Amino acid sequence: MTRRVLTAAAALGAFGAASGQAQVERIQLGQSRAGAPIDVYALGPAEADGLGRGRDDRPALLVVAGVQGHHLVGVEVARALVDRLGAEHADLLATRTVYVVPQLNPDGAAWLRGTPAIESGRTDHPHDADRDGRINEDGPDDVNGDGLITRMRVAHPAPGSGLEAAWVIDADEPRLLRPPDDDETPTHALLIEGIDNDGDGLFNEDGPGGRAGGGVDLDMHFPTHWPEHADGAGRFPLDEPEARALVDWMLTRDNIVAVLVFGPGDTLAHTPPTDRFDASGRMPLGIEQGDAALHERVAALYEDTTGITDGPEASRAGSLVTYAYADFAAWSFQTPVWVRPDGAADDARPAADGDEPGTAAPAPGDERAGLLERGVDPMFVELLLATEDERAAMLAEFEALPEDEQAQRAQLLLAQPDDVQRRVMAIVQGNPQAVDSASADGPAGGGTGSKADADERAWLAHADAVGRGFVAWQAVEHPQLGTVEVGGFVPGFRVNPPAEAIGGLVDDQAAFIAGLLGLFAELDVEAPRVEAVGPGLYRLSLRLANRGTLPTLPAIAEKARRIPGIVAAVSVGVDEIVSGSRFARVPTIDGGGHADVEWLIRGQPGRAVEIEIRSPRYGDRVVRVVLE
Amino acid sequence: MNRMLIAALALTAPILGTPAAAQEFIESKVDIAFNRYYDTEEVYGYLAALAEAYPDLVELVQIGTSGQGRPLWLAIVNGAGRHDAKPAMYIDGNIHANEIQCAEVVVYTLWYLTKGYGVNAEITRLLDTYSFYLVPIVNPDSRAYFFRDPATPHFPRWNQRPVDNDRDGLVDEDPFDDLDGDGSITTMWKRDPAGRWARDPDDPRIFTRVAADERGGWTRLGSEGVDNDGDGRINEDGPGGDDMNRNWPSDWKPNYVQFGAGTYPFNNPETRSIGEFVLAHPNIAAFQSYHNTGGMMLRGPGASYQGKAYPASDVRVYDEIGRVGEDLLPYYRYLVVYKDLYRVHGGEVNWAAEGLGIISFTNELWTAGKYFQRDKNRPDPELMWLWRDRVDFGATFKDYTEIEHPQHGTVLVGGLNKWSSRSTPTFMLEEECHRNFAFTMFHADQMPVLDFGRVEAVDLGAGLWQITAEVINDRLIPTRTARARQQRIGRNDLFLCDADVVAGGTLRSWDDDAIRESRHEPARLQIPDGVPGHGRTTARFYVVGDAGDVVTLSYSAEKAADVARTVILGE
Repeated sequence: MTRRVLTAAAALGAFGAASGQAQVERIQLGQSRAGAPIDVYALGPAEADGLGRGRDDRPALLVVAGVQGHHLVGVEVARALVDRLGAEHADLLATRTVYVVPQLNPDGAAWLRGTPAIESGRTDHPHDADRDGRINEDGPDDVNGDGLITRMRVAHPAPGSGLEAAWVIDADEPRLLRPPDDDETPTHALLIEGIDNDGDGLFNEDGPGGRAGGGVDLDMHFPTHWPEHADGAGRFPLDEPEARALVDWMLTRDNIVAVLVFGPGDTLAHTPPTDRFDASGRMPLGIEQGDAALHERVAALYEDTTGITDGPEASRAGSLVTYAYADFAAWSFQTPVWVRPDGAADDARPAADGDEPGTAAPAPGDERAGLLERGVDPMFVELLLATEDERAAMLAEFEALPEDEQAQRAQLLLAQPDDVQRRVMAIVQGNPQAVDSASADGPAGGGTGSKADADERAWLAHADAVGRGFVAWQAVEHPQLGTVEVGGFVPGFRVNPPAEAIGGLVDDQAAFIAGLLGLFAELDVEAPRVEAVGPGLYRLSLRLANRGTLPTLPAIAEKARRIPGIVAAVSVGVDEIVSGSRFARVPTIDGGGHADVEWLIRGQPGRAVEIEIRSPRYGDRVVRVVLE
Repeated sequence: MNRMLIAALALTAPILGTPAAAQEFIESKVDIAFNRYYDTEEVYGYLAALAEAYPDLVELVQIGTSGQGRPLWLAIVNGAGRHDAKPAMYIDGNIHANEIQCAEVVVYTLWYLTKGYGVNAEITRLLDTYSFYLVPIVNPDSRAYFFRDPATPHFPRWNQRPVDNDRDGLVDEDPFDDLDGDGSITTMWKRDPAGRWARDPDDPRIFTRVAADERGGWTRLGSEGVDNDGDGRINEDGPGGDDMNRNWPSDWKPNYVQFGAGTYPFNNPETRSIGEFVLAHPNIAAFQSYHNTGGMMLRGPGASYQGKAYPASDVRVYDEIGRVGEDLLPYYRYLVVYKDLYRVHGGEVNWAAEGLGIISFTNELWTAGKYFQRDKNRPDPELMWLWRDRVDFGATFKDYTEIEHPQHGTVLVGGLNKWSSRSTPTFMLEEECHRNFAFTMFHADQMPVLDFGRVEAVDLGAGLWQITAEVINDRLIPTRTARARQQRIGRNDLFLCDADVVAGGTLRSWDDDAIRESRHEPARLQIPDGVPGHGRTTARFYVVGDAGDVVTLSYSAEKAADVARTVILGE
């Protein structure tokens, strides 16, 4: 597959040359563990605008792609946008800045681009996944030598092989497997392509792209709701140089108003919940109620401009989109950029996320072992494997718990792998059908009549339609298992579209971003008014208006209080102020709304007074008035 | 200290030492008085002097650099063997800079361990069995501030990272101001006919609140300071900072949930340097971080919902150490942070316990019950004045003086100074240091120490041998805490046999008949559960060999020294 890649030099040439001045600047934020640069491109004129604001003073949108390295479509679209936005939206960029980090995790992209290609998006952090004292000693292997890590299915695995049959071949679509019905005997084991390199009886248990281990998933690595101890979460938040470099830089850029993440999950086609919080009760798991209406306003724009109406739910625990919202306190959105053309996107996260379909097969005994081995809390394992009646009893028991214990369990749930969280939530919400199908989702899994099965079939149909993307099962001699079949979806096929689709996706995202910039708050300071109240006594009033659609701050920013809102500072001494505050604070102004600030001050007629309006997000400015 | 002088002292010690030897007191090559406090530079000077005087025992490591550029020193203290090949206890202090005596307790620990090694049999055994990682000052910048600049018993607690506390866009622009120049921030009072406070006619140091229907004549203006930034408020944005004991990864929450949390876990070089060191030393099996005050030995969790991180078998270990601690430390109580103190997100020992599975305590040094040592409560106000006048000789009280204040006119400034309430009275400091040192040594002495128990080789005929061996942990702390097992923290223990092993596995007990077989790599058994505290782990290997073959069994754990035993087949 050929991919269109714009280099920094190309971007500079295309964009900078057109306008005759520096319109884009590349800043290196840091380096990946393997030494690749992590860059941010700052788009917009370097010189001050009419309000005296430089590029880093104007309200900004930050676009970050490639957090999970295998999401190459996001990387390519982000790179193209560096060029496109400058060329087509110079007007918007005159008063707003766009920062683009096209590839946060270059090391993670290397797995999918390497030989063999592995569907893993993680960093290159050495990690002993199976705690045996050896690092990365048993990752996947290209058993059939086709340059791709796909799947292996093993019919009637021999006793002592360490494998258990948990699947049957779907008679209607023999390329897919499905869980056996109650009266069927499972015939096949399904696992990631590989051999037991270290002879410990386990296949691919410790290495990049294996069923655990190998590197850090940067989208589980930010501090917000960080899933401590979960596979892929890392030793501590922002341990990885890529994520830390990004956050350290973001914390110096108080002008960032909104963050848009290009990654496998979505927060736009489906609005995040407004009523869920962490165990402290303070930090939203979704978004604040006060931000819901405008989040949906942005979502409507997104659907209009991109046509995307569905997408897999973005993960929350430790993800960038959650950090940018619940901690960094900016508007925050995520789009998968591309979904399967029929619109019904599959869960596009890599197998390394913990969804290891081969061994987490749904034969109950096996599934229990698989879940426990993945570190899933036994309480949730029991819930997932329970009958409907048992589940009802367990839920009733939960309802009866004191609030803090309920909160404790909610927190514990956050620490579970994403697929487990989804399944548990589906049970809690009374939708067990979705639950049970979720257990079967995965690169080559299948189920009987379930959604995942339909999704698998849809992907297969898509592969057939485009004539690639699925490696037909083929018998090969495995050094340890005898004859096995190797095949399944091509790594990355369900995340990244073909090269020819990229251009259209760039159009879509450019339109969305232009629209989003158009919704930004615009702070307008009206001329101050002076009214003589008595001899040497004056009332000063100042109206601050928001000419945009979004409020100057999202509700979460008022709550998080990370950086100041707007401060209006009047240049007279405290002893001359009869009423009002020398530093008047305006927390937020709704779109189309205004805030009035007043002072009653003493002073001689003819005296000049300055009012300095300080706003980290919308720029500082000074207005002057004479007492008369 | 002058090297010649040290040498001279060392040479003369045996001669002068005869009468001294009759005491329990142990001489050190470095004299340090533990009836006074030391600023950052002085503490670091003593670290260097001790490292120089005891080069075979002490290695100083600069693990990082503080926000203001001061070194962060860690002392590795170790007797025999490699320090990182045996269980180690990590001890630090003064992460909250105003909690002054924490540094002295850690320096005392270093001082006592070095002078006791080779002299006192118990200290020698401790240093030969374990190693110690000591960081006396986690927050050197604010400790320097406390000594150099006007402070209170409660400030500066945080580090000096510039933070816009009042969110006006300016940073650290309105600190306290030492109006009377006494080095402490005390209290400002102003005459006010309708004031709610009255000054005691017999003792002008005392202000008391008047009844609702009375007028007292005085108003309390608050802490010493002026409105530096002209915003009409006083002291609302002083130097710093982050509360570095809210800056650790486990259950970290941002500032709006946990005040002082920092921008993210380990955003501060001080905490990050320690985090990196601790992660690089998985042999750390015990952890202490000193604070003040209240006379407590605290364990986590910091929040009720983290209770699951303390499984019952770990709680039994904590309870046993805490129970003995209450005997070793009069007026101290063994308590749980969230239940008995307050909710903490992202605390240091919470990370050590919950994130790393290490048995970890925080001691809260000094408690008001120790003023008169009669009961555990704070003495009543009258007794406290007796203390200040007749025990402390007025050293912690600054008499009121009149000052012209730029905003308030004439004010009275004075009151209790920065040494008045939280730091241990200096004449009682040495005891505080020693008893807490003794408690950490008891804690350290619970770290796992392994030995082979019974080892038996049985000839099964035809060249097949059955070797059974048990490894015993003589201490309270298991090689793998329940928390470590629960979250798969760290490497599994390994039970190894260097012979031609054809089958192997563990036994529930010595008398068990059948092994729980490990089908793969039977010569390198993975032991995720480790060796329990005061317990044993038993394994059996089936080995092909001949009589007279020498077989070595060994056991390897991250948090214990490796042990090995040789057995000769047929003997």
